[in-house]
Amino acid sequence: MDKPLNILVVDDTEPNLALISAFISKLGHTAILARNGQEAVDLFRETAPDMVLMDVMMPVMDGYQATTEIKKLAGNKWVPVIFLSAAAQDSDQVRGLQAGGDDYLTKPINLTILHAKIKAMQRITEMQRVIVENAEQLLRDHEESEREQNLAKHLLEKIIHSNSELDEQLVERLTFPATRFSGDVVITEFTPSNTLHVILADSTGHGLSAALNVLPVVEVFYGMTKKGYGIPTIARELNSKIKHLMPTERFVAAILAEIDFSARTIELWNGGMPTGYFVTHEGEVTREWQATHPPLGIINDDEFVSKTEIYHWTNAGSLILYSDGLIEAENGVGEQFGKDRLLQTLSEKCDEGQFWYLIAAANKFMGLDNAADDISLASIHCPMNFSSLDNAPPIFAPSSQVVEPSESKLMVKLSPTELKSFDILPWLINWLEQLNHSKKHCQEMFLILSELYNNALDHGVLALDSRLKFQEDGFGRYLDLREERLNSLQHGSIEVDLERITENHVPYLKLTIRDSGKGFAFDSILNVDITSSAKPAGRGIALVKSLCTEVAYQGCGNQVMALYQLQ
Amino acid sequence: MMKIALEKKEHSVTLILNGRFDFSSHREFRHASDEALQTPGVKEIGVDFKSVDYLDSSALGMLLLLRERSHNANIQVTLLNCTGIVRQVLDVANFQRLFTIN
Repeated sequence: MDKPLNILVVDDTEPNLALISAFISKLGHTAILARNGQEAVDLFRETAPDMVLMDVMMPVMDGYQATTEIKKLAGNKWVPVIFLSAAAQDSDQVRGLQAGGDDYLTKPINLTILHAKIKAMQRITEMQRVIVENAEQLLRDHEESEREQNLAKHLLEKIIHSNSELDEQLVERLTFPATRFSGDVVITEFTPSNTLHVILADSTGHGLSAALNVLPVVEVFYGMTKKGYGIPTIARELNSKIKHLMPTERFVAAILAEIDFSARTIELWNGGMPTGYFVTHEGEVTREWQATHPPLGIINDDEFVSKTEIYHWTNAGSLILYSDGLIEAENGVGEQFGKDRLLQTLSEKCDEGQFWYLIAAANKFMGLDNAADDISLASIHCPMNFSSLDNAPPIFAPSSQVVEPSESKLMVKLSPTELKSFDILPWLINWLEQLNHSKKHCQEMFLILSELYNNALDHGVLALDSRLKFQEDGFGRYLDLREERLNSLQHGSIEVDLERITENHVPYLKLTIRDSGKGFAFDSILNVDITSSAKPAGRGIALVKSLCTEVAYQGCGNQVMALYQLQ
Repeated sequence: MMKIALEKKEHSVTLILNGRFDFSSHREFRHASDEALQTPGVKEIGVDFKSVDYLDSSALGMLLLLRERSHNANIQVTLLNCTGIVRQVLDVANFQRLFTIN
């Protein structure tokens, strides 16, 4: 049974009206009767029928004009008009169709054909209705998705928050999303020991789903960097987290780097990203880091390799990182920007810095706004002179927090297995944080701890001679030797004592680090002038001295004690 | 649009890819993988890149899916004829650690 329709029947002869309306009623539909064109238009407005059967020759207003008016009234809704007329000329039919009619039936009316035409029109009407409904649904969905995307965009921008002023001076970055969302992200954060961590991550695909993939990356990166974890530990955690959270076919290519501006070193882990470069201001590429690992989120925890590569810069320059969107971007004739063009651009000396020069070159080549993939680029300035004391507002911010009197002690002993793999410092600093010290104190204590611990490891347990660093290319060899000795370490230990004490009502942290090494002639090292930045060694201990009430080497030089005031 | 032909031998099925391997090939690749995995007695699945002009990260994702599904069914996956840009993309992603690449 067809859906019953309201059919407007227009004719100026009563017998015709009677016949057609009786037939329509018999079919189960309702007839609305009009006796001329004007009446038809008025009734159409009042009753909004589903279909119109229209006579042509009528008084007051003829069928053509009435049809034109009715089509106007119907607007977007499709209401079929079938002409019923004795005029059987082709030209009459054409005129009827031009006026907006949808079909034509000649008089005398053949009721079987009328029935068939009503059914055909009903089918078309139903199709039209579905189309209009779908279009409306699509529009509603589109608006809904628009609102959701705007909210998501807002949230993502808040989560990937902007950085400090210091960061602005050191890091230049740009991201060109292929859609509203970028699956690329460049973020930076300072560690408690005032080195800079940077990550440039490119997640599979682009758009909202890619942007969602980078969220856990952002969260882990910020959290672990602030706690003082190193790049290898962060890379391992990121891999594990993405592997756990994301479906198999989703992963995140990333470069993670730690830049130590006072030691002038870059420690870098590259998983599936294009080669990163260190370029001097003269335009010479002095180091490159190829992808030595698969992207994050593919490898199982037990197979993951967190090995980083370290570089010591001896000429001021920039660390240049970018996503594959840059080298794979095509210009109008399908040519890619390519690695060669990138290297060529970097090799040209440029006063404003290679970063903007590179942006300009890429933009000229293909118009960055039209990119098919997300493109991101970052440049980190690596100067020769960088005084952490002058430039470190986050660490030396004033604190008014009162330290509650308390006495507690933590003693840790590490043997070769832990020395090789365990990131002890965040763990120790976490203990200090639990004792409710201010952020400033925690950061300074972290600095002291990490300087003295690393000295104990490098010069004590591993017996590395810091004079090696003075030689040409010595730093690189120093780092190689350090890695070699650490990997093959069989014997040795470091003991760390952290103690909260009170002397004359003043609270202190007493830190003692004892290593299994042979010790050294410590008289000279304590007198190094911190401002002599030309020397690659000894600055750390000078920095520690400037922060502590007392620093003393004991025993044969294999034990150091530092007293740090907590008020 | 990528086309995939299947070459079946005793114990092995090779997916011969042709064209640009990216997200638009998702359905195609999925069907071909299903067929290869469901072939009775299959021990090895090869993916032939000889006629692939380009592949992107979603293609890498699809390979990872194939690897996972094959691994669960004890089937070895080998990537064949990887040269030029294909080889470069696979190298950057260090896929030699995950697949046998010939």
